[in-house]
Amino acid sequence: MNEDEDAKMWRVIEKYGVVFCRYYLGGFNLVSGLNYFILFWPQPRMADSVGDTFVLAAMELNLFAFAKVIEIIAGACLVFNRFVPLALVLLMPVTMNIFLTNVPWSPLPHIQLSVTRNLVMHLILLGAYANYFYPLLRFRTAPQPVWRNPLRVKRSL
Amino acid sequence: MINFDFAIDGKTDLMSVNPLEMTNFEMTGAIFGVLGIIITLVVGRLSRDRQKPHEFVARETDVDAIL
Repeated sequence: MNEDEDAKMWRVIEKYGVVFCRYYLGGFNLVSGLNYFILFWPQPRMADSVGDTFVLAAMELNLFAFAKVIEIIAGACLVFNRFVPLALVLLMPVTMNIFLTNVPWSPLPHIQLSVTRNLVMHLILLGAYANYFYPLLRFRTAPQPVWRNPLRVKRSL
Repeated sequence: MINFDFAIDGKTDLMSVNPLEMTNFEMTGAIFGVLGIIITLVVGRLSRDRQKPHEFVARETDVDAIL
């Protein structure tokens, strides 16, 4: 296989790998969010007592419902390929919280692997859509308030 | 004890790190992922004839300009 074909093959793997990650993360979060409100499968419980206390407290404070609404909205955005960079940013706190509450605390290796996989896929997608995030890396910035030109939002859509 | 077991028995062994041993949510994600690739392949195949070479016209824009 020559270099040109090699590069072409990697480009195909890259393209479909990103598509798989987007649909996987979207489907996972969409169904996980919907399951909280519709309950077609039993709601997963944290295996250790500290994690379970955290989840129960988050449910009492309605933080869990808020996170599940974000999962539904961002999951649908990823599945339907709409506002993907925004969905990735919205979903990041949820993915990070799940990772940080499960990996050090859960005694179940399968759960640890699953949440790590979700975080890795999320990071891959952030990398794949990096062109939308480069403006965030500006060292020196100047404000351009949205209220000065609200039509700018409409133009961005 | 961590294991690498896999069995289609309707249950998920949460000690298994075998990627084929999936929870409901992981299974949904995997199904969505595979369907997504199939949809992308089909849509790409169907739209191949409609895709024409892009014509790039250099033109200044004020989109990111600091005014």
